[in-house]
Amino acid sequence: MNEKVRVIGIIARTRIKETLLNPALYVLITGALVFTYYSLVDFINAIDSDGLNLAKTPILELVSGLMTSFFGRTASENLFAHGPFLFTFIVIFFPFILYLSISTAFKLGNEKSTGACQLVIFGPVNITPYYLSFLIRDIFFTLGYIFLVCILFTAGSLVTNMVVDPTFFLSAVSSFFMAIALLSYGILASSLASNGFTSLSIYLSSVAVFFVLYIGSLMTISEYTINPATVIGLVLQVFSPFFYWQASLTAVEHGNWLVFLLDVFALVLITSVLMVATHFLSRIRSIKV
Amino acid sequence: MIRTKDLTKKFGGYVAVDNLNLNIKPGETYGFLGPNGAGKTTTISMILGTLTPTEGEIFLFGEKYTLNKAGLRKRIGVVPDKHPVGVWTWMTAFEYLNFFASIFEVKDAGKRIEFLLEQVGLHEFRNRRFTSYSRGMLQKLSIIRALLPNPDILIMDEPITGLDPFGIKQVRDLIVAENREGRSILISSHQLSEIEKICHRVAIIFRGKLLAEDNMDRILKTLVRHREIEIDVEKIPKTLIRQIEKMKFVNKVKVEDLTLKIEINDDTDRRRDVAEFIFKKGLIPLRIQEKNPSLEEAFMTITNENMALFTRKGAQK
Amino acid sequence: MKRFLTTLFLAFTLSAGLAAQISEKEEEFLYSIHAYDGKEYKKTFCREESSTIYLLADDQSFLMPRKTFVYYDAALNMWRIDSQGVNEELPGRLEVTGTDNKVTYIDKTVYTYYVTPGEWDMQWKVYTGQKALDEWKTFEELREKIREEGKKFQEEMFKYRRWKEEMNKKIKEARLKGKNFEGLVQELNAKSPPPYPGRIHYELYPLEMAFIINLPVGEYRIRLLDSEGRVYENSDKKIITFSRERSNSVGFIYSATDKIKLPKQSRIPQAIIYINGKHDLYLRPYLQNEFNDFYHEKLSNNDGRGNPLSTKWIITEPLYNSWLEYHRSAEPGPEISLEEQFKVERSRENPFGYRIVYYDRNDAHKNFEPDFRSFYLPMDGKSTVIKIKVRDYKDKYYVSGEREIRVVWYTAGLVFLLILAGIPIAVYLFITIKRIILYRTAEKS
Repeated sequence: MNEKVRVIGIIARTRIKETLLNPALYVLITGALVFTYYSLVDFINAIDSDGLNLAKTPILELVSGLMTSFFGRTASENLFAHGPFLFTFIVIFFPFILYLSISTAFKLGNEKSTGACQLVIFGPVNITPYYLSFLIRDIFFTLGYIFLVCILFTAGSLVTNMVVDPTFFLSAVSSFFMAIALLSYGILASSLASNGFTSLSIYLSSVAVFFVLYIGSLMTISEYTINPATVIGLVLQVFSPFFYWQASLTAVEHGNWLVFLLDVFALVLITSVLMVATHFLSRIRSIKV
Repeated sequence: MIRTKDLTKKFGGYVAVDNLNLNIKPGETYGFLGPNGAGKTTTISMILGTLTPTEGEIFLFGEKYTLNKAGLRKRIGVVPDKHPVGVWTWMTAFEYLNFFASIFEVKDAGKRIEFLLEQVGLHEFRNRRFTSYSRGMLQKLSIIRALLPNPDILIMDEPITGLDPFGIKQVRDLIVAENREGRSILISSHQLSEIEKICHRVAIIFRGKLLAEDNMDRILKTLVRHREIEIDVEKIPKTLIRQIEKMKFVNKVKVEDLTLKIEINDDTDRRRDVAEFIFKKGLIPLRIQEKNPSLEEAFMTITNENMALFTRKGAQK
Repeated sequence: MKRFLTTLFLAFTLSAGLAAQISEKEEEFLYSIHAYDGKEYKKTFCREESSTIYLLADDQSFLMPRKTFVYYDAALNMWRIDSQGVNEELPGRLEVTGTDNKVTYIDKTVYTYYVTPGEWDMQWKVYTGQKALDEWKTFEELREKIREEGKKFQEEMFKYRRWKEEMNKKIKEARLKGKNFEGLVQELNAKSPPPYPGRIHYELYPLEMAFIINLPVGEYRIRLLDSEGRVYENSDKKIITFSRERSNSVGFIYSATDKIKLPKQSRIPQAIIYINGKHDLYLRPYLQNEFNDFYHEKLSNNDGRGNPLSTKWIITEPLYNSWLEYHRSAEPGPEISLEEQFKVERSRENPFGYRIVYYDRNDAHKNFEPDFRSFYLPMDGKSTVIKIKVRDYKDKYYVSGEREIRVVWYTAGLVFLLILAGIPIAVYLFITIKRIILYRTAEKS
């Protein structure tokens, strides 16, 4: 076990170094900072003597308008109920997670097809620690990013007198676990595929399905219809990290901590199940030298 | 060092490796031969633990090997047939080796890396990104990587494929030098010429079955029944062809422009005999070359008949 | 001629366009619904195509089966009823089957309902059966009485005006002739106009016959049976009754001095109210209940859309008898604001053309109603955070009756974010240059 942990640590360190040398990371962080600035400024500009008037700034008006028309008034109100931070977080968090997960799915698939990962697994460990090292890298950067965002928002709130609500930090916690579950799907996809592009295609397809289901579940509907598609959708939702993430956000909003913990637990469970599935799949599928 | 017992791998209904029994002894250079698709890579994958055998057993260093005994693999150095391209592009050769040294817990990693780089003449390029290396340099880097943990056995898959003559010589010398230091080496290849020069013993695998496992000379005698000498001559009189055909070790002569292709029916090097004969006839041989058939070509001649031959030989043995 | 043809063409195009806006009218079986939504009664209807009726559990709602024309109005994006042609109320009994297969039968009952108007508070009352008939009778009698009073008031007012005109005429003549008219003026001022007649403070809806639905939370099936027990075609529907998810949370209606006619709502408990602090605030707390968005939307409009995963807050009633405790960050301790009545008066001095003053019932605003009731929250220009809490007269704080008001303005300090944005790029450049130097050194060697 110690040997595995040691190797995971080494590979993860190399992964982290590799990511730190990638310009995409810095572009995303810079983009996040710039967006945060404009988001806060826009929000402040929308504040009147009688509260928030989103119609005063085109972007916020557009966002709230789209939110209201697609997801209903409550969704729009909830998004800005405590200030601009939740909205800003969602906008800057998803591209980062998408980048990490795409990079994981593609790199793992690519390293399998080019024989890079075989070089490591010919050694003292099997492929599972190799997969786990990617998860460690993703956890490291996701945590780091969330930490950075929290500091940034706290600083932003101190300067502007806006509030980073305690519930935001709880949302950040569930967002972290949601991200890890999503990233685990990237790892699972790479264990199914024999090269980077196939792995990426599998991953993006599954995320797209989950995303469409998620958006669909938030949208206003006129009738419940039970048909094979909705049943499949409901079944698939059980595996969707977005589903539990949304549920955790709602639980935070309602102050229902038990449900929040259950949702976070569900996300951890998904991650664990995916990693176990990856482990067994890689044993069944094996890797060609 | 490595022993397989009735090793079998099936992919659905297809039998990739069929009851394979190999035995690689300490200190020997062992050639593992077979045409593409014969089952060499599948066998090596099972030995390295990236494929699970359907049936049979593998013994590494006297111990029965299972996937959980990853520690046993640590004693094996592997040089795959191709170097990973398009990954770790940011790494210098030193960083690359250092990464593997950490994984394999190499003591005094820095010194060992420097030493091995020096050995193969890559020391001055250690801080260069290895993606800019030539094929030969990459192959040497790959061998260094495999040698880092000082393995008991080195498994090399097609180690000289794609290398230029200078690169081939360098790699060959490295293999010979490592073997002289007592390291066992398993070379999987389909190039008979190189195997012939390096290996002590050879196993031939075809369609997943072990056709033969013997020393090099005996294998060659069995496998290569017809050898060919090519001679470029300034002109070829018709009588010359007939006269050469009458030589007792000649099977048949073909002419292509000013090249004579002489099929020899024994194992002796007959280049001198043929050249002297042409001189005596007042002609000057411009180029003379014994054409060594590659294993690939040799296996083209494998038929059910000579498969039976191998099988018989195995039974007699 | 040309003009005529153009007009004809335009008229034709326009009418064709309008005709395309609505679908063909079709006679359908439908249930007219008067559904209680937690605050008031909403009217909607369930078409043949619609499978489900959504109602609040444990509250009275009314179903009226009928046959009438239904059509889709594309311009308004809604289904509508045309009851001018056919509007046949269907007799019979309603069969209600619960999930436990227990069947109950409901007969039509007469009912009426009314609303007591107020500032923005609506108290709905419903009467059924004999009580509805009694209530209607009382309302009719009251309406008759008021009508009589109104008639009498008109007559007396007419007399009063004529007398007033006479008096004015006499005063004018006395003044022109240089006579003393003080006595006449005193007489004029002493006599008051006749008192206004009484008003009916509610409007009773005409009596109607309907099936009263008052079911606990659950799913039910209904169908309409005629007098011989046959089921009406298309009368089979599902009823979903639902309850509030959270109840008696406190929301606020608030507005600033400069936008007094444009109040806003703070529905979400614990939400922050961000303001720029340039004008004082007027806040009014109210009680609200939370419902499933989809169910509630469908209750209000059976063809509407809602989000099943979302909820919505519905105002139920104003929060009377309460105090607003507020703590401004620049002040050492909390202060109390009492609910006051206010009057909006025209004012040329003020940039927005009016000023808000306390309602003076006895003097300045005698004979006028206050414009609004509210808790006044003054801005002191120093406090950046104001915490408000609502408590009742027994000093008990209302759950979720807290809000934080934050005064926010643009600050140049925000630019630090843009400065920080440069750091990742700088770090990347540093790392890249370092790597390039490493590679170059190797190449040179």
